[in-house]
Amino acid sequence: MNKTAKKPAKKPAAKPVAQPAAATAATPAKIKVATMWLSGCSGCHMSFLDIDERILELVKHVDILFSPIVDIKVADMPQVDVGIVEGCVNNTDQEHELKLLRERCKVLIALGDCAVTGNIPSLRNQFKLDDVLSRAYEQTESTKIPIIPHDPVVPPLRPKAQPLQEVVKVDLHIPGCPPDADTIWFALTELLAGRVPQLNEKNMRYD
Amino acid sequence: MIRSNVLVCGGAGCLSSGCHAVQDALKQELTKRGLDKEINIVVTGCMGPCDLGPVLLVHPDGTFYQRVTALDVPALVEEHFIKGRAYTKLLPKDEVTANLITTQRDFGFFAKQEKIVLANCGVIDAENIEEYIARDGYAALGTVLTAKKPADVIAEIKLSGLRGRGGAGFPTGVKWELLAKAPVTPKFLICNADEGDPGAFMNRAVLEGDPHAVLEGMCIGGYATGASRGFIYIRAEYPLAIKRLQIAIDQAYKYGLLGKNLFGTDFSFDIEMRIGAGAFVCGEETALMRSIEGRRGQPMPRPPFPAQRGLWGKPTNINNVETWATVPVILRKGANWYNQFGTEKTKGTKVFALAGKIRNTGLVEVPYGTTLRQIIFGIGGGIPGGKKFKAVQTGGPSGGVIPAEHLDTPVEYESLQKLGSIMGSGGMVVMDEDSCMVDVARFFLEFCCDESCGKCPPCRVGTKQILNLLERICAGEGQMEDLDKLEQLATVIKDASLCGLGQTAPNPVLTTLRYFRHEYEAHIKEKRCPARVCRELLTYTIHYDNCVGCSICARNCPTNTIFKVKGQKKYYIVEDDCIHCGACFDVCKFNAILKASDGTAHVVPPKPELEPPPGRKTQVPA
Amino acid sequence: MSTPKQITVTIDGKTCTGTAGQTILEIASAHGIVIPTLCYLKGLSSWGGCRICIVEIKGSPKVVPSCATPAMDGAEIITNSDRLIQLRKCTLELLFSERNHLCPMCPYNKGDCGLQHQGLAHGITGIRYQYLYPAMPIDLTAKYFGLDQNRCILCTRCVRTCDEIEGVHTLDVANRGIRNQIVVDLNATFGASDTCTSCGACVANCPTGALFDKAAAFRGPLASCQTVLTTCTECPVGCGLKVFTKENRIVNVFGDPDSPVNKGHLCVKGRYETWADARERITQPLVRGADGQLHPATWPAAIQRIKDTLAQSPDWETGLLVSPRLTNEAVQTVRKLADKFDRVAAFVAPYEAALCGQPEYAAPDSLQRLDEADAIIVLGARPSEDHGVVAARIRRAVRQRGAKLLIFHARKSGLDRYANICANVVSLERSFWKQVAETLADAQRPVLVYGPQAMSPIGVTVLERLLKSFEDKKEGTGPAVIPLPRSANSLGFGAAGLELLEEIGPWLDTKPMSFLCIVASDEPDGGARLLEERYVRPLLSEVDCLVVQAAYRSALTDMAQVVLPAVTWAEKFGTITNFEGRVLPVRPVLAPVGEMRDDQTILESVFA
Repeated sequence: MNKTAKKPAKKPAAKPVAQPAAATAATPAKIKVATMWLSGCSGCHMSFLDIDERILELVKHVDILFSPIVDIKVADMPQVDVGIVEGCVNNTDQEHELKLLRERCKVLIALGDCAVTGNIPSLRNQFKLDDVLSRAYEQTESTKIPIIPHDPVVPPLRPKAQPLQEVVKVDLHIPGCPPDADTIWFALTELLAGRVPQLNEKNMRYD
Repeated sequence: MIRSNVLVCGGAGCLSSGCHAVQDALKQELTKRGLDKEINIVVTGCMGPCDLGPVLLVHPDGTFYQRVTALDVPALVEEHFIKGRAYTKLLPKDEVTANLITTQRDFGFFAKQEKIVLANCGVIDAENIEEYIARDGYAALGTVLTAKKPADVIAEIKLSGLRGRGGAGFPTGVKWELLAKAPVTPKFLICNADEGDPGAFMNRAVLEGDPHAVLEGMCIGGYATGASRGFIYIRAEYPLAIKRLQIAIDQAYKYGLLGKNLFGTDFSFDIEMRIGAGAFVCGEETALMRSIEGRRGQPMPRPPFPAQRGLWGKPTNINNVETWATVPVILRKGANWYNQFGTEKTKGTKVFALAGKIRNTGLVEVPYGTTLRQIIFGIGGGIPGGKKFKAVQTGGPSGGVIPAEHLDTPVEYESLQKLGSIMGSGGMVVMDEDSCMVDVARFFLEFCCDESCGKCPPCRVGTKQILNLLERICAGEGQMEDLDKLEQLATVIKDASLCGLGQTAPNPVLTTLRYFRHEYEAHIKEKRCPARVCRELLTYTIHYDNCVGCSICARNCPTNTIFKVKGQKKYYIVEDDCIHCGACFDVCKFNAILKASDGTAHVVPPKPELEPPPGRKTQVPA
Repeated sequence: MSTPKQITVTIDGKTCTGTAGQTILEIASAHGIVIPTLCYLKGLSSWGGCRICIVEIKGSPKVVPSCATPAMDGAEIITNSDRLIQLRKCTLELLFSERNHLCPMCPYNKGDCGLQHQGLAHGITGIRYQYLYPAMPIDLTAKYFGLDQNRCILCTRCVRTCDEIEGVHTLDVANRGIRNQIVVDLNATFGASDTCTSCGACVANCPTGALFDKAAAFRGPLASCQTVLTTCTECPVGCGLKVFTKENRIVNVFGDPDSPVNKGHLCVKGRYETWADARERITQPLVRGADGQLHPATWPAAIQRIKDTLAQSPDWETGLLVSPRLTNEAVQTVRKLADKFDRVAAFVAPYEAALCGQPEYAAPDSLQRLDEADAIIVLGARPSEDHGVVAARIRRAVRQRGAKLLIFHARKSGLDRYANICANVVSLERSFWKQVAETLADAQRPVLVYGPQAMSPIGVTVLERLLKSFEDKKEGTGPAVIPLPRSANSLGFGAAGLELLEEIGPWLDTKPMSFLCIVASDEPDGGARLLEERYVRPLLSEVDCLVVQAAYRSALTDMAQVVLPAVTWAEKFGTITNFEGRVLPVRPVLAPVGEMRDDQTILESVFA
């Protein structure tokens, strides 16, 4: 992840990675999508890719302009319609990036349990941050030289690892660890059809 | 021969201001002067004006002395009992005319009250049953047992219009009738003497000052409903009331006014005390009954109601101390006498505990329909220190705040409910411009969250969530969406909670939002506390004009963030490490510390060159 | 008693009839109307605390919990208004926010969790409240289960279960409000608790993963398992088991709620010791070779070895010693083959032989009599150690109905603290028996439960004295007498006419035995307890050919010349007879993995 960018650019980059299709009467403009993973394992993105060949249908309607699975430079974060974020907000850089995306998208989707509940990264919230850092960097059995990272390039951890909605407004939650590919497909196609996806015990999971 | 009775108020307020020392000094002085056979000292229950204590009332003249200390006693005895004239130094002054008030009858605080429940409080020695009997005590019980049928008693209570004084205001006669109809025995009566509301001490005064009224009321209730045993559930934090009640119970048994075959009839009634263990929730009737049974004090859903299944599964009726204490008066003087007081919907009088920013703190008893203004300003004497009235909080943590524009509201159940508050058990906390309404809401929610029994999630988790939101707002971390979140949470907690604690816990938030939304918005938008209460939103600045450089502020600063200005006898607070504790403000004798809450408009005064205060080695920050 | 009054209510517009006293939830369930619940469980008292089963009643502004509210005749009830759905959702969201309900790391996450089910059913995708992330403790000190406070929703099902079903009241709630916490005893751990009986009923009734079985964790969601109903063979109570299996392994064992014997409740033996202990299983026949070690062999080879040995020495004294855990069918086989041996016997508990020989006292309503008793006398038995489910019934009788409990002539047990009179050693003094008579004076429905120790000389004396004291009572009937043996299929053996041994030493010693076949069946210790008796080990080592038929390896199987693998209860098919005289089915829940065979098949193939 690009850590040198400190001030967000106000306008989209001069050289976007993918050009959105020009709008004509016959082909409506594609929905612009940005995805991001914060403090997550990327499993939700993998589950998204598990839609397999349906991605060919998806990209007829959708342009993924900014994503760790295409290309990603935070300084160039474009204005998009939909933002999909996996992982929870754990360090200050992630907080900054999430807030930036929130500004730059109309609909923000929290994808997966880490983004919805905090999940595994949030287990550290039960302990004091200093104790967590000490355990991780000083006390682990295989550590030879105990030292807690303090390079200014390494973003500091926030007091708590929080789900997205405790930092920004979230428009849609898709829980699951990871959510099924079918659930992700269902949610995206419903959104594309202009409907709010109805998630319940038939098409949703919490684990 | 006794020529004069000196009543020493032994109520809680006067106890803590030292009435024991006054009593001892009186005894000593009267003995020294050889007057102890003519002047009788009587320790009574609470007389009412708790802020003025220790107080004395001399009979038969009716002279009322306030703020009496042991040192005043020799002069007082000299003036009043030897020279036969009032000791003017300790007489109260009329607020308006500044004239001295010579007798209790002329003292507005007393004159404007109608003491029915408190009729014996402050008049009799609570530890002497014969004084209670001398004031027609137990006469009602005698008449009821020998000349009335149970149904007649219930009819009389219904006619009187008596409504439960615990807060719900349910018609007492109807409640008794439900118990009378229950076909199962044994039946029980309970007196709810838990009085958990912070700032409430109405029941305490009755229990300490006139305990027999409660016992007589319960006996009459037992006869009317067919109950055979009564329990007084009294909070453990009232040791004096427990002591006086036990003395009263023992004396009543000794005199044949409790126990078997009262007044020669075949009606028997037993009363015992059960002591609480420090839980506000045990003032809720179903939790109270669990506590008496020795179980965890947690409410149970109703229905079934206590009159169907109560203590140990048997039919039970629970009433408040004040309700029970009113019963003998009604039976003695008649329902028609009683229901001349009060309003159309609510008959009789109510005891209120006036507290907070008010001149005459204490207990007042007034007929329903008296307006808030009459109570707070007429009897209470208004706000001291020249401050402005802001709001009055009624009904304790279950109630709400009422602002100045509604001061002329007559006090009764329905009128207060319309304003978003409740009557509750009678607590009235007066607030002035130095009270922060957001902090008030936070304080009461902290109380409810701490006292929640934890059985149902809406209250257990909901009050914690709503408290977290309020704490963030008070700390300057709130957002405008938080106000919607507060209202949403409040609705859920009110609607889904199992018992009255949860159902009323959001009231302080809802009423403060309703009447003082601008204060919330100031906290959120401007990070400013208009009343200068919320610590994180305060700033302390040293006013150079008044500062004489005494360094006492620096020496008391717990974070060592006050430094001396180089080359001047002035001091400067470095705001970065200031924790807003106010220690400097409290110790400065020169009014040189400015306590302000300017929020986002705050301008940090320019930092001069600093040096450590003399005698300190603290490093000046960069 | 008059018949209860019929009432009619309307629920969501549907007319429903019920009887006065029924709750709204009961009437709704009977008419197929589903109201979501969390803290409610049939068989436990109603709590009314979770606020999920709330309904609206026309004319009342407040919502009421349908599980705890008696239905009033004529009431109009709504179960699914927008207001109710909104309140339920918010209550569930508050629950999710309260503790660390992280599904991905919970063994109940694939459909076994009540909280997850309600969240999904209400379409909750995210919560509107801040997560509190409290630091909650985890207690893993119990042998078979754990308590993870992170997942607890404070529904108190565990508290009510432990109080009302097992009767020990080990669990309760401590602190107040948001600091509420389920605690063991006075804030002890399970491992340090001296009241917990490890019956596992709390775990069975916990709706979330807060209380979970260690051996079952992550072995498979219950919804994906097969279930088989069978009977526990650990003791003569014969509780019904509902066994969940997946891919030919046991996932969990619960009580069968429809069994008239235990009604869904189990003790630590049936609930856990049947399957959750690690034991070394014998999977194929073992034959001791020339090198003195036991080597795996085929069935034909092992059987041939035995036959050859017997053929070589026809004068040998031969014996057959069987475990009392054998099914009735295996017992029949033993009887049939009895004349192939010089001596045949079954090993039972001390003094149990007399009890086994009294099948005529067994009555199918024994447990029911116990449930109705107002005075219970336990003589020479320790139900809390040997028959946990009976002990639970006794504790319930004492705590819920105020029944009197008297315990005589038994070693100290966990039941002693509930007794009005507890005489581990019985005195014959008049003052003592006067006290007994006083305690039993008002008993209308007394029950006398007696175990093997009652058949000892002192026990018999006390028994006679007790029966006499009942005759002396002026009113009331004599007690219902319930014999309670210790060994699993004692009554099945009693009917078979086999010799029952309380000590095997003398039996071995009367005449030196050269060939002995011990059918240990699925004894959990592989039959090793036989070796605890004095002189048995040296006597057994003098047997020329010792054949042991067992499911588990033990010191006993290690002594044998031939070891034959037997099936366990989980693989058996047959019946046992419980102490009430009921013949109960034992059904296989697993297919044996290996060469194991059932006891009767082994005996017939070797000795027939």
